[in-house]
Amino acid sequence: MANLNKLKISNDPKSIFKNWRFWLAIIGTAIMISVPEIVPNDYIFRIIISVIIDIPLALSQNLITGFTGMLSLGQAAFYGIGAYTSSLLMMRLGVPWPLALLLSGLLACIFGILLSFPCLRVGSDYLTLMTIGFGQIFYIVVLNWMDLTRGPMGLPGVPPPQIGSIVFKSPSSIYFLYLSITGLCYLFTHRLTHSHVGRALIAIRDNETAASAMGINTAYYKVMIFAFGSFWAGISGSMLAHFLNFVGPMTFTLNESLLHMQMAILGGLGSLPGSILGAAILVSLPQLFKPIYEYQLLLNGLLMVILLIWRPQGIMGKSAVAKKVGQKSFLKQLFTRRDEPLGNTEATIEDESSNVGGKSNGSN
Amino acid sequence: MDEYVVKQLINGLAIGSIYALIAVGYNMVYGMLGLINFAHGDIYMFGTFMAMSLLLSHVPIPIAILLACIIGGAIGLIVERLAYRPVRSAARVVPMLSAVGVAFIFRNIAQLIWGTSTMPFPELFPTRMIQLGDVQINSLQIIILALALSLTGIFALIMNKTKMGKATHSVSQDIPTSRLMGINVNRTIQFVYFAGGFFGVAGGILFSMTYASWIGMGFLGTMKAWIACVIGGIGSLKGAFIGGLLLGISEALISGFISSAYRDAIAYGLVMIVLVAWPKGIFGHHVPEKV
Repeated sequence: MANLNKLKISNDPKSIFKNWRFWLAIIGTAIMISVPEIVPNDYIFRIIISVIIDIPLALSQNLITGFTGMLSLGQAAFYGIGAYTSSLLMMRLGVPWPLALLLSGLLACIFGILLSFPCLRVGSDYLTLMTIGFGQIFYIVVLNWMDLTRGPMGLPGVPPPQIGSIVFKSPSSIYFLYLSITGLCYLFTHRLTHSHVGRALIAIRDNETAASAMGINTAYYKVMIFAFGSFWAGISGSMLAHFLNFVGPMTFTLNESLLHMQMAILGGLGSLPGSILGAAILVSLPQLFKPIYEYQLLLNGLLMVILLIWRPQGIMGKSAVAKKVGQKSFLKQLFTRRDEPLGNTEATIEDESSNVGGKSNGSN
Repeated sequence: MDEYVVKQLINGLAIGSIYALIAVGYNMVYGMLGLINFAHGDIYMFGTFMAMSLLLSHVPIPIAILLACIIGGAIGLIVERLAYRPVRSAARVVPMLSAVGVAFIFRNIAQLIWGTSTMPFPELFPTRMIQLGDVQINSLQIIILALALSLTGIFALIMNKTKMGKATHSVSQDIPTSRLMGINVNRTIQFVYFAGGFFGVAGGILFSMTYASWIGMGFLGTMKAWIACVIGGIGSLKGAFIGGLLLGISEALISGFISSAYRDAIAYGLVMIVLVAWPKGIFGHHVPEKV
């Protein structure tokens, strides 16, 4: 019924002006186009571009964790593979930028597929460990393979993006270029999650056994989503390298993977606009904390703990992903008396503990 | 060459026994609540630095170490209260990440107090080289091996013989039933966190005696303990112990014979192969999934 109504509205040429989504899209586009004009200085502009670079990472993490329920912590490795591939291709072999960008995504995608096969065999926690292991292997190899990556010194002088004779050197040109790439990523992710694939992924997340009993080829979808997620992580890495004009191994540690996971969770698992919000908050906050950088980690930790207790499902998340902690307020949760049972704690823990390593998200 | 092999094996045993000691406490929380405790390593890092400060201000050695271990346990309790209990009923990724948040907080505090440089741990025992046949062994390694093994033994005794330890086994099997049997579930969970922190700090002190103390050792320990648990099987004391020893020995052999730069990379690769071959860990049981 609801669908029918929607259809009617969109068919009527006048009523499109009554739809708030239409006006939101218009205003959003207007703001996005005018960003180079309204931003007061280059510093803030660079932060905005950093946010745009990180959005595909948050989206792909959300797809893997929020939609499919796999706790992968290896996105930083694909990010790094993309960054190194496209800078090395451009610097050593003189490959044109659009091809280098595409190849960096494809190489990350191949590694993602390769990693997904052993991951299919193991349960949730083991999958996390495997992806962390992959990330650490990548980091150690990059750190020690001096001939290719120059190790800890990194690769300075990565050229800016270039299509034909147009060089994207000024911040505003890079802004529009990257905005369109990220927009493409959002579009693909949005279409994917709103198709039969997205519904299959949610079914796998909610109950893998039931999903496979319903005829969903869980292995196929898991490999596919790993491939999709690592492709966009690679693209994002390439964008980063050509924006900073530098790649170094320190960018691609486990902390970076944790940051991507934080973006997806803070914004809300299973919510695509949430991932954009998460990326925006977690990229710009450290910049705000810069004057007190000794406390940056502390503030980040505090923010994480408080936000997770206050809203475990994330800012824009649906409660189906992370079950709500009863009806108690945030403070009450902190100071619940020892003997008092906590909401539906028992039922959940029973389910979780009975299949340790079996499934990630609660599914009763 | 044979002497070299024996030397590497003893190296591996000493470091493996430390990993085992850190892993048993970690594995208890892991097995009981199914939570990956990302804060474990930073708790013991904090405790180890505490022990170092106490020792440098001339507190008697046994008191300093005991105090540091108790502080480690107390931090474990605080972490449980603030970061775990409020989100215990949420999806599993939530307590995992709140643990990361707590780890960040402690790492930052440690950084502010002790700085980021690597510090040698004060020497507690005089080191001598012992001649055993053709092989020379550092007496420190023998002491560490003995201490780690006996502490792990004590932990196993506590877990298997005391009332609290038995309650822990019960809670890790079934929480509502344990509650019905009159077990105070929350207190049992607190006990496990305390014990994990306590023995973790003990392991951390031994670790620092072998290498040194630095901020990053916490995260390193979390990963080593986790790998040990996964190799050995989640929730099994014996598994964590054997997993720790296996990890230590294979690391020593890799760095002795293949490459020390790629040691961790190869170790991770081995873990991935082990997981593909035994998806539930070598000593883990297959848990059929409820539908």
